[in-house]
Amino acid sequence: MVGLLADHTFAISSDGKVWPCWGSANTSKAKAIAAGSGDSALADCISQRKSRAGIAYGLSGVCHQTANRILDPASVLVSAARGYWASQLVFGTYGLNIAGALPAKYRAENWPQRRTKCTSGTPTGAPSGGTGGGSAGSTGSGIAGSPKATYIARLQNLFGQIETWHLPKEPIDESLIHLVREESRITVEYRLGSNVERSIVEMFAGARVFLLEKRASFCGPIQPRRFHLK
Amino acid sequence: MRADTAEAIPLEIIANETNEMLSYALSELTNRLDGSVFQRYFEFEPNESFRVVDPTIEVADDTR
Repeated sequence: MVGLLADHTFAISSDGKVWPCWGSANTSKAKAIAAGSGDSALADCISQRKSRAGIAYGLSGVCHQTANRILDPASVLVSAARGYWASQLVFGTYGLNIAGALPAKYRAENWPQRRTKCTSGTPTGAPSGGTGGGSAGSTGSGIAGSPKATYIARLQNLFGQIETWHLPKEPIDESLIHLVREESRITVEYRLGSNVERSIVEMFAGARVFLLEKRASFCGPIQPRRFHLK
Repeated sequence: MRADTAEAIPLEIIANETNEMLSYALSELTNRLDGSVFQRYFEFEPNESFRVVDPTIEVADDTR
């Protein structure tokens, strides 16, 4: 993440795989912030190419979103990294789904596309079971049923409903905005509690949509709206 | 007939643009949200005592 106090994140697996996520993967200087059981072969598939997982750095995500994609089979998020919640506000959990607005040379892929490519052989497109014995979604981030595990499960459910993503003409459409607003609502409820005022949820959702539109307008020709809050 | 891709946008420009729009969004939220709400949302999330049962994937971070 550029310009903010933020940690670089990367991922490793117990069978020796290392995913640098655009940066270094120096385990001697790093500290573990989360762990979970999952299929490392699936994670490796998601990570293609070059441990970038279909993210265009700085445009659709940074190392945080790249790591979140790769770690999806283990139901892990890198949300304990410094600067995560700022990068999440800009790029979302798994990166902005604006591949249609980006030049082909970035090899950007929307998260549903990237995920589906690797999970299409598994029932309901869900991550396959982990080699460590835990099923994805139950052991990834803390105790099953913990607020964080519930948060991740809700996100996976939201994005799991989308099999493919077509953006033939416009980089942003109403369904993408709806997705961003839902993701924002789930995130605000996790961070501030499920009884958070609706107006606060709307403020964050408005910020997310504003940032999405600004980013897409930077990448392609659309008319961005100004960010106005009620 | 062929279609060429656009030139890659320099990372420096991307960074400046990202910082600019994030700063704007954060200032808007700061102005409208109660300070404690803002802090709770963006505060650093401490490492939780995650359960490690033969993890096959770990996450690590280092300062970029």
